[in-house]
Amino acid sequence: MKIVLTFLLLLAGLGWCLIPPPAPTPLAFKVPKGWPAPGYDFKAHPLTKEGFELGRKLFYDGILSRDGNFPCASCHQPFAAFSTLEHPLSHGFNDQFTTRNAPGLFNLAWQTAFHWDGGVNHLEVQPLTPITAPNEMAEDLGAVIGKLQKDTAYRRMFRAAFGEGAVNSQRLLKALAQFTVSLVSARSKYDKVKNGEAAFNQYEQAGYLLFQQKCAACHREPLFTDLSYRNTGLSVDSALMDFGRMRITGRKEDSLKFKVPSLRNVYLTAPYGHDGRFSNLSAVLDHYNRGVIQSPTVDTLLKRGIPLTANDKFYLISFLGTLTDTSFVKDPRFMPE
Amino acid sequence: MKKLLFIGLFSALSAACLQARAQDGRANARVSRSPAASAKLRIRFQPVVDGQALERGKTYTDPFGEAYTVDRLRFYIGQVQLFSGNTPPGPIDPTHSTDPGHPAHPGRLAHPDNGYFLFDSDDSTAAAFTLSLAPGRYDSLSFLLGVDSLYNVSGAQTGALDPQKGMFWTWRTGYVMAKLEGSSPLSHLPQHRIEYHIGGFEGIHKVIRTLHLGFPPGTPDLPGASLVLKEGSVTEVLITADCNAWFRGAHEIRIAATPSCSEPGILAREFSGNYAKMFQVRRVSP
Repeated sequence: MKIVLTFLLLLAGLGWCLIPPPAPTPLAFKVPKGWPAPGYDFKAHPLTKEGFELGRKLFYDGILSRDGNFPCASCHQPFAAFSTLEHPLSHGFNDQFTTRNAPGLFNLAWQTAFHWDGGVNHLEVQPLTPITAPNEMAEDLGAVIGKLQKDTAYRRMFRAAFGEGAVNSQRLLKALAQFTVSLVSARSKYDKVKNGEAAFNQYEQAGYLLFQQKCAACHREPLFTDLSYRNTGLSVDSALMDFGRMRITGRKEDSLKFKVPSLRNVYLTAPYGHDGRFSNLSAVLDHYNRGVIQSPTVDTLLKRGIPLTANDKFYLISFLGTLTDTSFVKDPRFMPE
Repeated sequence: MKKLLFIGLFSALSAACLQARAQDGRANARVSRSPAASAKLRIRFQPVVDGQALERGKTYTDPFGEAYTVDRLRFYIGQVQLFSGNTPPGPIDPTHSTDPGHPAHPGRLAHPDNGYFLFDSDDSTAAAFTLSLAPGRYDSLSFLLGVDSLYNVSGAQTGALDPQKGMFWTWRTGYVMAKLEGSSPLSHLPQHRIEYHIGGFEGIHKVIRTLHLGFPPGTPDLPGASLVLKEGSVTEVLITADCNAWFRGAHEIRIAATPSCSEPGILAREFSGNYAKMFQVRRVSP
């Protein structure tokens, strides 16, 4: 009897190598009604349940950072729509600051370039920047792979998501992208109004009309960004000396241009601006009203700023509140296990 | 007896298991190979300075009399093709797929790792790679020096293109196509470092180059002008890469004025124009 049991145990132990892992379960990506087609190539980079779950575990795990204290989620907190709550600049390894405000992570499937300056051309390779930056996660990519290879749970999850073969950086990056590309925020009050499931109150309605006249050229619906790079007339911070997109293109016409951020979940993603210099929405609107610094590359739409009365500001801020997507920030699929 | 039976069964299962895994391994290592490809060509790179084999840390002199040492020379090679006949090779489609599994025509690179090879002067295992080709006579070879733009824009890669290899820029996506690192007393950088990281895959900043090399006739090592690949044998082509070529050529680059290059741009283009001339077929053996 004992021998039979031993044999069965051995047989079970051998099972893993005799039977190939089951193929991962495909995961569908739903495009919200009325939205444009995503720029992300889901055919070449398909989603699977196992890949997504591995990506989620990695996203919330300090194992990707040198000292274990800085998972992706340390700067991209779910309750702040995956930005950093109330921090102009985020904190990284060894009490250091990042050099730009952490953007919220959602609707990334529609973006074809990442970072405030658009320097990263594919979602899969984006995590290489924070993982290796000495002021962020400060880790060596090879060291990350080494740690993951030693971890039984990770080895099992990598195998389930990608089949036989080594834990490697390509699989790590593909898993992370499967999680982050799945972060879709499209269930705000604004969306419900658009779908006829809710109605704006009078302040929100007035704000929406103002928004369409004064803001929507750059913060284009339904993504609330046209994904372009523009100079909004901010002064140059003498400590950061950040000239934005010019660093990427090398063209002086791109001096001080930064990506137009989405306004979805804008109530949750304060502070604002590429360096987080505006602590609240009122300060942002004051800037557009009378703070725009004219320079050769300042956006043509801002040559006279955006004149706003105190009432306009009140209505606009009322409307912007309708872009908060509570179901997104509380979605259990996106939470750590 | 029962016990023996179990041991027997267990051994049989183990053997089956090992065999299954070996087959997995073969499946993973699948490379593109044309049916007629039965000769092997090994391409070996040898870093040199003015014809002398490069030694790490040894002081050399650039064409302008500036002293320098080399710690590391790395470059990407891809899309190797061989040509027969006296006519110069035609233009090569830079978007040509090098995916493993894609049927190769004779002479096309047939090598795993996305079809790319990373030479590393600091790693003796990264000095040569072997292709399977149709036997025959070849008069010249061509290869891409750098990584095709396709692989710079399509997300995470693996093998030779793994970003872990230290040849990938994170803040602005793209591969470093070639790098030369060392030191020079003329460098004003910390520790008198010299660091030339050359990249750029699009528009005017593109540094990817297709190079054609002939097999020089009449040298003692190589009596004929052709490379003859024989069925079932391995032929090695030794190509030298001269570090001094980085500084001279169409553009004169002096270490004292230019101890580093770390982003795509005009300087990177100039370096790539210079180092495109660093290769020479030195020997074919046997």
